[in-house]
Amino acid sequence: MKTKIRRIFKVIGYSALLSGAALAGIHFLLPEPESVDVAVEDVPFYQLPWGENPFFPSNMRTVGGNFIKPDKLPSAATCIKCHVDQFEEWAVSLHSVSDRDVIYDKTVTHNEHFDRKLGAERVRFCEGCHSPGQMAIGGVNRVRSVLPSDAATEGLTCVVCHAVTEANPVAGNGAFTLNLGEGRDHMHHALIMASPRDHARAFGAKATKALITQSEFCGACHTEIYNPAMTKVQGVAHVQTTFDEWKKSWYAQQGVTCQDCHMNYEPVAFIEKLKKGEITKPTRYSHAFVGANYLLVETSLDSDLFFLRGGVLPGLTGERYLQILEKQKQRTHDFLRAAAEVEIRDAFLAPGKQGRIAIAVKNVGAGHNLPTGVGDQKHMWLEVTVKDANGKTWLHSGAFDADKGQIAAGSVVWAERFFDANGQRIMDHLTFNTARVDYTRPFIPPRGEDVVFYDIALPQHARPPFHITAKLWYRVAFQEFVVQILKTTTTIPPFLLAETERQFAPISERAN
Amino acid sequence: MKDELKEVGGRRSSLFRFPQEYALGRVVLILMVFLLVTGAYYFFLGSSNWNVAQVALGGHLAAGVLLFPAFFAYLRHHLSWGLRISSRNKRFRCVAWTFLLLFVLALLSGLLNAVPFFLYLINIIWFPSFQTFDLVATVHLYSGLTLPLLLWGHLRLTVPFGVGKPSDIVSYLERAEFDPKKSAP
Repeated sequence: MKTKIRRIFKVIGYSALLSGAALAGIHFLLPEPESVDVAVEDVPFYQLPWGENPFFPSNMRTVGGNFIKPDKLPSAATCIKCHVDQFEEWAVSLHSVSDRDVIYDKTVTHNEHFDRKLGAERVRFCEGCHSPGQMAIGGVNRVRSVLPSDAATEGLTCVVCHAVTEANPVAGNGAFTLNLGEGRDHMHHALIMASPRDHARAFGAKATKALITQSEFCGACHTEIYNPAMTKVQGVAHVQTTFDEWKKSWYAQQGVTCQDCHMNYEPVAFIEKLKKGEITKPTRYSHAFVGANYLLVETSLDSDLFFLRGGVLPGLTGERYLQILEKQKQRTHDFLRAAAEVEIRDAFLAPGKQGRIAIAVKNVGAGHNLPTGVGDQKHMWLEVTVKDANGKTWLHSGAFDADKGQIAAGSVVWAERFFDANGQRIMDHLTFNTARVDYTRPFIPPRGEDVVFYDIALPQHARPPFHITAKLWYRVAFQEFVVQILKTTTTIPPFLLAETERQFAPISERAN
Repeated sequence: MKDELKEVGGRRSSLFRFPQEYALGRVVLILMVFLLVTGAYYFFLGSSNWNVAQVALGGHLAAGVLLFPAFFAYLRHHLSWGLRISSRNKRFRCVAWTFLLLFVLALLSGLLNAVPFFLYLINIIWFPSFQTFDLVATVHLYSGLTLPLLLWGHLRLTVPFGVGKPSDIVSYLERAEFDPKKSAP
């Protein structure tokens, strides 16, 4: 008996000792996972024309200031194995093609070629937000001296957002810090399934989790400020102020973040509630990042859409890509239409008299200005038609020539304008040559409106009542840009944001 | 005296009544200690070296798989005679059942968290939310950490409290200060 009980404690003791010793042995024998950092000086021929910061003129940073080994940057194609839904949501977003999108790619090349001396390094300004992976491996350089990486071509890929530890929306221009050394799995995927602690450490760090739900996180890139380092601007020019627009809005005061709308599974339903002042925060967030670019989800373009989106993403088939893009197209259309309203507020029309029409363009659903973002290309305009009882058109402003892709002269347009040092307007987003920026008319703030007046002289024979139609159009790029960048005369179709119509009798008749 | 100890309710009175129970008990004990050491390492020191952590976790999973059949086979033998004598001490019963309950809880919570791992091995991807995993992992951790204490209590209360060191337990059992007849069903 005595022996048997002793045996129990002996067994316990020896087992503990052996297990502990075995682990201690392994602990000292097995090395820690190798560092993925690459010192800047270890990337051959990496140019540093503006001092030691390898990412300048972008404000992007990495923890430690180093690059990462290209093969250690996790691709979204790895994440798809377990996170299929999130991957497919993200795959149709613009974030997934922010680097491979042909229009962006050609614009960067255009800018790069403009500045033959420093263009290759200056485009780091663009790539910091559009291709942080490429930046992080040291791939944005005159001489490409690092190995390719799938993840580096995936734009704002999973690891980019899920490894951010700091963001500065005031500084903008990609003012975020990536902790890519930590943002990766160390354990085998099978073991991660048993215990995702390592995975949570890599992609759910405390700092990241706190930041990733905040608008400040988005603001790091959705704030763009030109300065002499990348443009010909004297001083600074605030080119994209989306975060700031939100910050000053009713939405920010109510705690409604960018993510609440753009990462909502039911964005339109959410916006419709917001319009009534009801705020029901989502419990789950989508990675679809529904936005305003209707062109890059236009599935009727078929293979041309793949061309524009820079091919099919790794991990997807063309057929599947089209299927999920179709859903994103519908989401985008509904989302855009929830943003704006047009109201024919009043009209004073009478035959033989000088008349006036007041049309209010209202930003009813966007938490930022309308339009916002790359305002030198993304523009809105108002098309107004006045017809009399005989169907005779007496006013047609804002007509769009679908063949030439041009809006009629004298139309009311909301656009940002870039000018070079000689005062010539820049239509092809040549950032590096931009010296001055202004606006055709102020963009419409959240929950604000812009009332547009049209003066119209009606002849005596115009027959009342008068029928007025107003349409608010949106287009992602000007035709000049398409011709110069894409080298094609294909017209980018405009998108109808809102429309309304109303019939007006002369004031004298209205009184009766 | 020793002869009396050998017969409780018409059965042998040693801690392991049958040769196979003795062997199983030893296996269970070794696995339990191994699981405790690897689990504690993974949880508390894993982040210091993930390469070792994955060895520890792999070992933990393998030992857990082995423990399942061993534990339930052992339990079948252990309970068959243990129930006959456990009525002698209320505190013993309380500790013994808590021990058993937490052991099963630790095993089941461990199994539950390992389900995605086993599914992954057969190429099926499924996993619960991280919050669910975290909750189950917390149950697994704390039930697991409590087991050594309860085992100690279980062994100690084989005799009344206050006896002290393992050697004292042995002496107590040798003195056989309980009435085997009362313990008999």
